[in-house]
Amino acid sequence: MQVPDTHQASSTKAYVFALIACAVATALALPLRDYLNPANAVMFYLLGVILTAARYGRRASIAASGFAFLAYNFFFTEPYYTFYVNDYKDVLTLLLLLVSGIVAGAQTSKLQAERNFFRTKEHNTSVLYAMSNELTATRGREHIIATISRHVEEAFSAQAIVWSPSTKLAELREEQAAHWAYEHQQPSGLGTTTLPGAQAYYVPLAGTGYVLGVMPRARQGFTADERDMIHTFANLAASALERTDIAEVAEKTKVEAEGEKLRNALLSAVSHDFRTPLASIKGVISSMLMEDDRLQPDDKKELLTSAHGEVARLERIVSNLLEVTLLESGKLKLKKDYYFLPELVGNALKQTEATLQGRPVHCHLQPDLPALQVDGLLIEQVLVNLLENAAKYTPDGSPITLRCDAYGGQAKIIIEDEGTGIPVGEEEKIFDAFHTAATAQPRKGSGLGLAICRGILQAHGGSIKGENRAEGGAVFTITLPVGALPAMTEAA
Amino acid sequence: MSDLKTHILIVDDEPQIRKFLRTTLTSHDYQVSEAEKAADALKALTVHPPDVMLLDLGLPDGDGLDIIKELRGWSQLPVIVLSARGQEQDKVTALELGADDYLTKPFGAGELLARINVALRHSRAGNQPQQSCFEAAGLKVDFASRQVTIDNQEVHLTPTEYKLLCTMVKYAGKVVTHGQLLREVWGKHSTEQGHYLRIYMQHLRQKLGDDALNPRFLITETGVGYRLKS
Repeated sequence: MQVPDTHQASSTKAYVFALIACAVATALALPLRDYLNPANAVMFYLLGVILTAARYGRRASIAASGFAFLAYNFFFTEPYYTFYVNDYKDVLTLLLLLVSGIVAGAQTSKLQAERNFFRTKEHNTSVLYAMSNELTATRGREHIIATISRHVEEAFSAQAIVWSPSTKLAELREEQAAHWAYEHQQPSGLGTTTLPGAQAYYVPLAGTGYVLGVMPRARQGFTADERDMIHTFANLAASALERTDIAEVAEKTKVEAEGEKLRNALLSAVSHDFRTPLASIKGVISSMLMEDDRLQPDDKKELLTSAHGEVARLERIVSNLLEVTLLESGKLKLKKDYYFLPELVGNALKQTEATLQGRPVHCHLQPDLPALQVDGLLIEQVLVNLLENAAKYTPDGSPITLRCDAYGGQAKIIIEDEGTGIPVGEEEKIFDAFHTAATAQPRKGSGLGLAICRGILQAHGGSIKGENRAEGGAVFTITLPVGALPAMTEAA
Repeated sequence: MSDLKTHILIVDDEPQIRKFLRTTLTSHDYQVSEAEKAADALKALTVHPPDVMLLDLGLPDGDGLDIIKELRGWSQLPVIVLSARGQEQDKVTALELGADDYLTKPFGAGELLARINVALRHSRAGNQPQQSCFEAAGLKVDFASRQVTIDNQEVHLTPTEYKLLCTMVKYAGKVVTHGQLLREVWGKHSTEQGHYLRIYMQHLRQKLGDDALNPRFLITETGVGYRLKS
């Protein structure tokens, strides 16, 4: 293990500290000289040596041991204030002081250096961890690049540059160094053999087409350790950027696949839903043209009535398609105004009169329903779609019940039928575009009606859900928020 | 009426629509002329003024709305606007500019003829002294005595409700926009307070015993306004 002794450089300061430590030890021990046992005085000096070792490392502690040896010799061995030594025991003490000073100093400084090493390592780890953590939670190339830059700048007190061939650095030398790193996938710039004149150290972010440049603010270059650290940062940054690439590709593929699915569904819906009514209309008209005088007035009327009904169906499909396009593209704008539910329900019933073909609709409306602030046409469309849906999945003459009430800031519209109900497990799916119930044989609609209902209600801050009644048949529940009416400023 | 046929000008750029309108109208004894573009329409209006104009709002060489604006500078001839569902804002604008009514495409022959009849009745009534009372579908309003009865049962209205009903009666059969009602009943500056109108209309309906689910008198034209059946 290599122990960095980062404090070797400021040696003058270290030796001055060693000298002062010995002077202080002398100053403390000297007045007590007559009361102290010589071994105790030695302890003062050892303390000074250890403190020096802890602060300034091994070399300073050797110097401190030397100073201690001299000071003890001068002040504490008889004859005092000379470097002569009378007693051979004092010689031994002096030698022991020197040796134990050196050994203790070496041990202490080693421990201290190890601590520094681990502290730096821990700091680096936590800095890396913070960046990696943040990168995991960051989405989007721009944000990831910003996060990398910020963390590199904090960790190295430097300016970070995330370069790609599409960026252009102001200074030619920097641009060249970055480009070289990109081309050769090797570090370049400051402190390397390639373009060392550059102000930043450039590391390629492998597999991403980016280069990370680190430009120190104050110091001349980076130490080997700092460079290692920059490489670790670069690896982390590279894998984060690579991850976004993959995510972006996956997202694009998914969107394309969904678009494809929608297009296919639309095509099959269009070809089926448009062809059926068109075929019937064309048939009616052609038979009118060909056999005009042979057809009885009653037959004629019947044929024309059915064609008229088919036209209404086409009309509905076209407007549903338009609406679903608006909803899907997010271009639907609500034209909100105040409406009372009975007005909207009444209009919807009128529009579906033909489709319902005599199915009785029992309406139970709570009296004094509040005014709702909604897009009236769209809510009418929701009601029309639900009523038509009920007509699709119920036999002729089967009754439909419609209830409206409003409690606690919420208006509810409930439409119940006595038809086949919703296939179990499809209560949610029926609101997906182009989903038609499996029980609908043959295919009965484009599967747009309910999707539009949900879209419209969501845009209003309301909801819709479909369930089966215990007695059989489906029940659809719509909720809409009831806002407070603006105050009436005029008396009636 | 003289043997002179009622003259209707059709302004639409779609030949199929013009054909349908022409066939339907001539078979109902109207005299029909056609224009394809806004410029032709303006020329036809000055050279041979019709009794009613059917105007499509989306013309290739200009906005149908501009024709109404220009026409209203010198003529009160009834204008019925033809437009698609979802273009409610255009309908409202056209009505506020002075159009008399609208038809939402696609529409049937019955609806077309009914709208034309209402428009003609209003334009002819405009040249005659005002009637002293209005009667339709069991609703009777006597303007002299300010008495309102439904199936001969008297209904008591507040002054505002009465004014609202009278305004609807004035345009009976035609659609009246929210803006028009607010201006005529509450005065110029009330157009911002649309909710007044809804509440008074609701009160009026209740007093007339009108069921909004299946209205006998007052129809809500969603996104546009109200219409009194005539």
